[in-house]
Amino acid sequence: MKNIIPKRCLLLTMLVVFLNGGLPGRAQSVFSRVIQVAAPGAVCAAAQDDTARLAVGVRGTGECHIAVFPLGPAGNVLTGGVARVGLPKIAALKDYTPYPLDMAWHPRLPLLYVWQDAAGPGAAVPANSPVFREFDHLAVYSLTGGVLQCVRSYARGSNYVWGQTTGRIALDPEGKRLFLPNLRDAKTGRSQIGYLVLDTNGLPVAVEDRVEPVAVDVGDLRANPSGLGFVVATPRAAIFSGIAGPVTWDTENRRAALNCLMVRGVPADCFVGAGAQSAAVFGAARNGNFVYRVAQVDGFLTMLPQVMTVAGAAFAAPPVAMPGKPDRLAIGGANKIHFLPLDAAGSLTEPVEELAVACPAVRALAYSRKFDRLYVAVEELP
Amino acid sequence: MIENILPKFCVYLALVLTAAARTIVLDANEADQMAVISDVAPRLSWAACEAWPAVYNTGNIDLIPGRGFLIRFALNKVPSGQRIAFAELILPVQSCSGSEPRFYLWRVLAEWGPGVSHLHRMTAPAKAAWAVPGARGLASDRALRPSAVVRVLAPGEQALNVTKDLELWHTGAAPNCGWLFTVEDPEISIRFASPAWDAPAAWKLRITYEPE
Repeated sequence: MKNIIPKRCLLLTMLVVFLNGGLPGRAQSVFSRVIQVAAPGAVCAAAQDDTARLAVGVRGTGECHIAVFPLGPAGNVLTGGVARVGLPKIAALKDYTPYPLDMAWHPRLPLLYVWQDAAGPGAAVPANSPVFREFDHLAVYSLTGGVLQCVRSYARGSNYVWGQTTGRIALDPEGKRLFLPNLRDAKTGRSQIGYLVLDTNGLPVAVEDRVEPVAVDVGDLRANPSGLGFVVATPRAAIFSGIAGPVTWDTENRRAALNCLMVRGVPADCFVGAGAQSAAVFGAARNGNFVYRVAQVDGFLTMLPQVMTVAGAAFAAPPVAMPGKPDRLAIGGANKIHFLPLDAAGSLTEPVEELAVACPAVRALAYSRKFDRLYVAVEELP
Repeated sequence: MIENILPKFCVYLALVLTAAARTIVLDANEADQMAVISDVAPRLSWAACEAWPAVYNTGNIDLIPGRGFLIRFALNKVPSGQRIAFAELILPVQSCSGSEPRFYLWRVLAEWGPGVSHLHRMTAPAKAAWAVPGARGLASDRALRPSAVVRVLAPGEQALNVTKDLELWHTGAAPNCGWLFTVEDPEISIRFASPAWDAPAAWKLRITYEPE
């Protein structure tokens, strides 16, 4: 799978429209910060401020799975110069269909990390699945001269579960570590998460010619899929979602590696998210309407959680902080985006505003701090 | 047994006879700050219970040496112009181990907040260290003397007279920085039902006040 680059994407299904005006009414100020991008089947998105790019990942039958759009001076999505690639097809996996689950930009370099999975038949003996032997879950793309090129791929083996419906990745703000979901102990099958140490070029560091993640057993706190979101404020500590609330993984204290702040009433499956600079982590129930907020300092959970519900919501993606004015938390749902107001202390307040979009499950949301824009991939534009 | 109950009964009787006295009961849902700090997890605010080796959660509050539980109740339900006549803190002890287990209740003197840990009383918006790690500084982090020392004879509710602390806070003679629970004797372990998880109603602060 290394260095396999689609020369051309035959199906260019993505259209882009920049909604400048927003919608009328009192919520205009937040809605006017939203830019919709037509990308049917979109499951993930990531914005990078330094290179002014928006990446969108699509799960579908077409040959184009990743599109990288240039952003204009006001953060508007440009329709020219779009880089598109399809995930590589592997001869030994002809009965399997690859799809992206998440993507993240390096904070400084023009590198896009794509976490991908494969759908296909299970093996009679699960341990003998060809996916374990042939499929790399992590692909690193470079963006050079407007061309997206797969530099290398990693994360292959029986310690990576496959066929998952969710799996989120995240880098720390310094670009030193890339946190990974959906790992397993190859012997016991217990759920794990992990991270790869990145070198100054943004590529995983090999130890004795092998790139293996540093992993931690989270089986008591989260079964697979273990990747319902990461909040990584520092290289040292990452927050992920446990079945009873958010969990800090302190990678530098083996005597207290995991710390779960249990949240009353929390459903077992909650996405977690927030901007890395946010003073809080937010949880949103997968296919539910439960939301929580927990303060965090450098990745360590602190103080008491705040909880609320959003009537009629069915959340589909991790919450995304929009720290501009007004301060909002955006959560993708069923045919709408929910905007939860945050007060001056960063606490959740009401009323919740909702923007209707043409997308049965809004999964691909990305925020640009530079442009103060929320990008959302939808099935079709209004 | 009767000698324990009698003084409390007399206090209640006196208060009932004072027609203007009112009693309110707060539970841990009305606590606005909590944390559990630990010397083996010096960055954590929630080192409450080591459910599995190196895996902490907040399902219980396990007091062991080196660990402290901080809690602060908001007291804005006590009207001004009133005096605290009696205050009692009621706690749910689930289990205990060790020789003659007892726990200490300390009035906290230093403000604490986001990012509180074994080393720091807060780390956001700015770092501020405890005078002694673990809030162990006498007359700086915590009061010179404990507000109560409770010997746990058996699991169940424990009631602590905290009238003096409430008086100090309500009159403004001292800021309400809450309490710190510790064990000070080696090899003692006392488990409380968690006010941060499934037992907030079991933590009660009963306050009786009357016109000044």
